[in-house]
Amino acid sequence: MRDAAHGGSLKHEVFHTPFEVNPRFEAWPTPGRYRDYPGGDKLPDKIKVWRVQRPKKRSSGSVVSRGWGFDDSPDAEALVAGYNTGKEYGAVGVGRQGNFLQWGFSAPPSTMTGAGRRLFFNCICYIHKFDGKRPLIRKERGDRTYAVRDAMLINKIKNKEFFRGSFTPEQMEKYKSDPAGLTKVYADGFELIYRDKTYRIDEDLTALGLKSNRTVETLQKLIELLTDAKHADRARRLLQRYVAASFETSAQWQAWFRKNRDRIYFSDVGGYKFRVVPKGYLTKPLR
Amino acid sequence: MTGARIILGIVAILVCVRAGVCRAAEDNPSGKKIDLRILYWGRGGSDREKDFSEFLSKHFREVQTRDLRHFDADATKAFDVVILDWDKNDFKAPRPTIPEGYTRPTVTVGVPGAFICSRLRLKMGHL
Repeated sequence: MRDAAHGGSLKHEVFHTPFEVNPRFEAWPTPGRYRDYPGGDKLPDKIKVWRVQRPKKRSSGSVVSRGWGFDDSPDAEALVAGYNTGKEYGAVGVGRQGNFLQWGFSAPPSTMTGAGRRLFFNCICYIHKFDGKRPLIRKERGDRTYAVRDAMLINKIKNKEFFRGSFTPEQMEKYKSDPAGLTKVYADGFELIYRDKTYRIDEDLTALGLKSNRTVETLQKLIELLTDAKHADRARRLLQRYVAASFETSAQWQAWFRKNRDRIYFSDVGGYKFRVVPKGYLTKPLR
Repeated sequence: MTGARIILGIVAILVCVRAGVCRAAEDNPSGKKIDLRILYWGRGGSDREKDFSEFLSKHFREVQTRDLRHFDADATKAFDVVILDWDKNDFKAPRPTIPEGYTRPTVTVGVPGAFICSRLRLKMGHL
């Protein structure tokens, strides 16, 4: 990451509490690498940023984290996107998961800008609110956006081992000179992507007429289908695929769903599973 | 000549002091210290540790520093916020063992911080 943050929304309380952060915006060239990632072709030539630090030497030691899937569990939030030349637009310069806040910039306070110091100061105060709130999930899988990104790269990266966890050998053969074709497969089926050794499009859900594997409505429908003799086996298989919990009977599934509905979330990063937020963890409603 | 040098030196000192005071006021317009106890873990004795310590001490009720090479989760219990930092050899920075049940509010900084997060399998990380 370079020395600036992207000029996105400043609504989050880390820009206001306890002190106002007033960045000075500038327009910097859009890094070429951003074009290599999904959506990068739509970015303008120059992009709005603000300086967080002015290190005495050329900046090093700053880092962004992948933004894909960052917000897919209620314990995590991307606070600031970092201007970088190695990852995607929107990669996270400052982010939080549970009681941990990663400040991706590297400069010590004396070489932060005034706005940078204020933000750092506010972040220290902000993370204090999460005393006792340990992370809900640990990283198990990549977000589904990786399927699209990897498809875009299929003829650019020569080492095919890179794709072993992404695509089947049959897909590699079929699309080896057609990245656009493979990208379309995953872009069209984006809401149905799951992991089973590689990225797959869920045909079981398609057969049931369901359009997403990560909505609470889908989960509710699968539980209802347990009482439908025609679809019960498939529904049970899907519940096993997508729910961290497990029950024997339809009644148990229904009781679990009724009790936890408002605290159920789906996380790709947490293993492509529906999970329940523990009672008392949330500071605001999930939906 | 010597007199002129002394005067210039005094002016320089006054400018620096004023800049420091102005910066502190700019960072924290209330002028009051925030009621938090901060424990900073970094490279013991480094300029960077001093830099962080000076900034934090101006704005927070209590600040202590420790060496990240000797991180001890139990030692964080008497503090409100923990900062994990390092200054050199980013890729060789200490990667402290933090138990999964650790719940102290913690700020990790830069590449060394990202490695710590990766080790904990958090969403923040280096890759």
